[in-house]
Amino acid sequence: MTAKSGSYKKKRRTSAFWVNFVLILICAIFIIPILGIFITSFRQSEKIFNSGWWTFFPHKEWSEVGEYVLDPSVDVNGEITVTTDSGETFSGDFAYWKNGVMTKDNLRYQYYGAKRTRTLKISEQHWTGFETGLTLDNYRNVLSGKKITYRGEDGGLLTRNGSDLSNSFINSFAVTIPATIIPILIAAFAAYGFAWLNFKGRKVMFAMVVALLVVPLQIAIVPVLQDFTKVNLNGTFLGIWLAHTGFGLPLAIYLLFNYISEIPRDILESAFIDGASNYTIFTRLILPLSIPAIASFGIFQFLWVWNDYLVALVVLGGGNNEVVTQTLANMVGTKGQDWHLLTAGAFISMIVPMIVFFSLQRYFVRGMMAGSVKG
Amino acid sequence: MVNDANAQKRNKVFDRLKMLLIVVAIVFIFYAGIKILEYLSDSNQKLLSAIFAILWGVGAVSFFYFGANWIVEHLSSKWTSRIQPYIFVGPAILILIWALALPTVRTFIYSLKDADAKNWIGLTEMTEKVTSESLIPVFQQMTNGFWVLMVALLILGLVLLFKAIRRRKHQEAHSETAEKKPLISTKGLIWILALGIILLLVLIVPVIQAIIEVARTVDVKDMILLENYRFAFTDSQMLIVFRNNVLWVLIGTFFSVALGLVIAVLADRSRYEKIYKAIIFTPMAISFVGAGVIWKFIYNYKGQGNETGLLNAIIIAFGGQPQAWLQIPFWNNIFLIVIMVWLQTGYCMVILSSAIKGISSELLEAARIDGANEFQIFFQVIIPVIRGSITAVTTTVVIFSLKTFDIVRTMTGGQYGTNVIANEFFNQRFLYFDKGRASAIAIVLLIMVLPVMIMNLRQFNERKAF
Repeated sequence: MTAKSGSYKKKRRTSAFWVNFVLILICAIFIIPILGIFITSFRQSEKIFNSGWWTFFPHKEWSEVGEYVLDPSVDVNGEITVTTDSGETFSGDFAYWKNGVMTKDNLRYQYYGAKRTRTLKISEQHWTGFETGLTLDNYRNVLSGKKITYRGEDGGLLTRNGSDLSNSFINSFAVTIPATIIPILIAAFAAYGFAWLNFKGRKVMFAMVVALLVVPLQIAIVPVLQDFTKVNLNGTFLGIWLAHTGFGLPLAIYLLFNYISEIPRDILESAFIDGASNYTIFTRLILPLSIPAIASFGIFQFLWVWNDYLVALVVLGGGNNEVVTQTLANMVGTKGQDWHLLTAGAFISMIVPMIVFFSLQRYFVRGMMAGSVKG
Repeated sequence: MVNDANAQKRNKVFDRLKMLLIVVAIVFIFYAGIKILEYLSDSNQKLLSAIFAILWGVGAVSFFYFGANWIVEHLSSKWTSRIQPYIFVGPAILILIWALALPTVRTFIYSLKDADAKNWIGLTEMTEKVTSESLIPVFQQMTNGFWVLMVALLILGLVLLFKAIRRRKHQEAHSETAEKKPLISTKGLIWILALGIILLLVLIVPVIQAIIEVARTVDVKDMILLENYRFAFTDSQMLIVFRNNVLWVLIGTFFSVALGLVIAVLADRSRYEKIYKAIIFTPMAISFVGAGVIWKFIYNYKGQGNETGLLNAIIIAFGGQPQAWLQIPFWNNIFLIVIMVWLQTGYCMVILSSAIKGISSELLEAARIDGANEFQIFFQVIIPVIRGSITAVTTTVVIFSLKTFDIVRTMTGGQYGTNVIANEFFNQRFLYFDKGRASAIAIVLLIMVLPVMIMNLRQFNERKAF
């Protein structure tokens, strides 16, 4: 081991500096979009339509301090000469003044509007502070289902129906929680059966599970939807639970099988010797031992179902049972008049998965690693 | 003693009763729950309906397993060990078959049918041609005598078979030797074979001739059984779709994996590793729709007044002209792919990071002592060692990018040349109501992921004793 010389330490320090610098840069790029939405969701609707969200921060802005009306004798189509209060004289055509001219007092003279206004606006730059007038109105409006009013781009008052996101929010829970728990139950039983029970067709059935891991959703949707329509299940919660259970089972069985098959055999054998049946062993021994794997899949499935759009769109359709992703997607579709609601809505849709995600991150990562064979 | 036997009998009867009760209870719980759910949703009691649904769903499934296992375990032990595995595995397999396995077959069948999934494309006409123009005349030509001979031979064969079976049974009852003579002697077998071949030649050959005749007259272009696939592979709109998907797969996967790898390697060398990784990982929790919304605010183009999109503002600050980014042909795909990279990099990073941490530090130390600089170490030591993880991650992201739907649908709806295959499936099925074409597109998607499925299956086969 060579002694750490001074230049080695210096090299380490500079490389550490660059590593952190690059990482901070990348992280900033990653965070900025979310930051933008976050800030925008608190701004007033009129300001959202008229300025970017970065104007929230202190910045230099031009503001009008005076006006200069051209002499009636001046020909606006030719050379326009103006003497400013600072004593300078500037000359130019319409385009020149349209661009704006800076005086040594740091005032800007700029032609306002078309030629016939014959007016130059005088403005100066100054720092603004943080934006004021932040409001929770956007959140309130996007959650309510009744009539809402807000200011449009030109400042006028607009009235519409609220997006009723609160209804969708409850729907999302109603869809996601059963669609997470039920597959876990069914898959745990199946995984135990595959791992520790011997029966005819075991290999073939498990091969089917493995094959179905990558089958795309689109394959299943047309027939499944037809079945649902036949028994009037389309548009109901029961239908979408069944659908998500079916789609989530391959990964669930695979993950839980991998975990359960690694439980030491002696534990099970001693339980058998004590006279326990398969069912008791499963409920009293296997289930508690498999909690890490169950948690991993559970979070994976929760996030997947909560953030899912395609299955909800196809099985639930529109109407009263809409989930958050559907409502959000509908709001995006409109020509941009709902943007102030969109930001608040997006944030509300993100809150729940973020909380679940960050509090149980360790399990999620483990689930992802095991599930990296799935498509 | 007698009392014991009576007690046992009574227990058995009780058991049977309890089993019946359980079955009834299961059916009742399922049915009642569905009815209650219907009632609650009709009367619009959102919260109550949701809570009931959660409790009932979980409770009903749990009770099913409990009850079914109780029944099975109270049967005789021979039946228990035979049936119980299927109670454990059965529901899962049945649901899988209904939700995924069967639909694959059904979708394939739909892909050969027309838009309403009712009639076979092309096949009806073809079969009509074959039967009415060729087959029926062939059979009409065969004389009555021929048919009498056929029937006679059939009866003869059946009689001989019966005789052989009876003889065999007789042998088994009276013979003392354990030696089993074959049911039909070899001579008999040869006779049957000869007869069978003659029959085949006489009957089948004309049919084959008829089909060949038809095939020769039918133009291949008229065989529109695969019409939906012809659309899927050759339609000009679909070609754009394929081009876009190729872009998504190649560019999206490459940058997700590369970026994830670079970040993993860099973060490994930094003190604040956890924070960086947490930040990069955050977008994974966001839904695609939400991501679409977030990036809409970056790509936004107003054309008048102040630009509210971040990208346009940056361009203006550097002196450029604001653009409607999502409408620029070809490049708008790249802008959409950026969103997916933003979402997927965290996943790649996590997996590759743990792979990198598994590299033995001695290996890296040795490389450094040999004078390799960091770039050389990266390309010639790190990447080869974690090649397995890179492959696994790449496969997953490839499949993921093939299935892209939400992003394209919410950002552009597939217009301006951004359409991808999953979106086209949706359009065909729910906008144009063409089940046939939609199914064909779904099958194409399946074909695209088939290599991965085969790889998985092969890996599964090589597993430990299964």
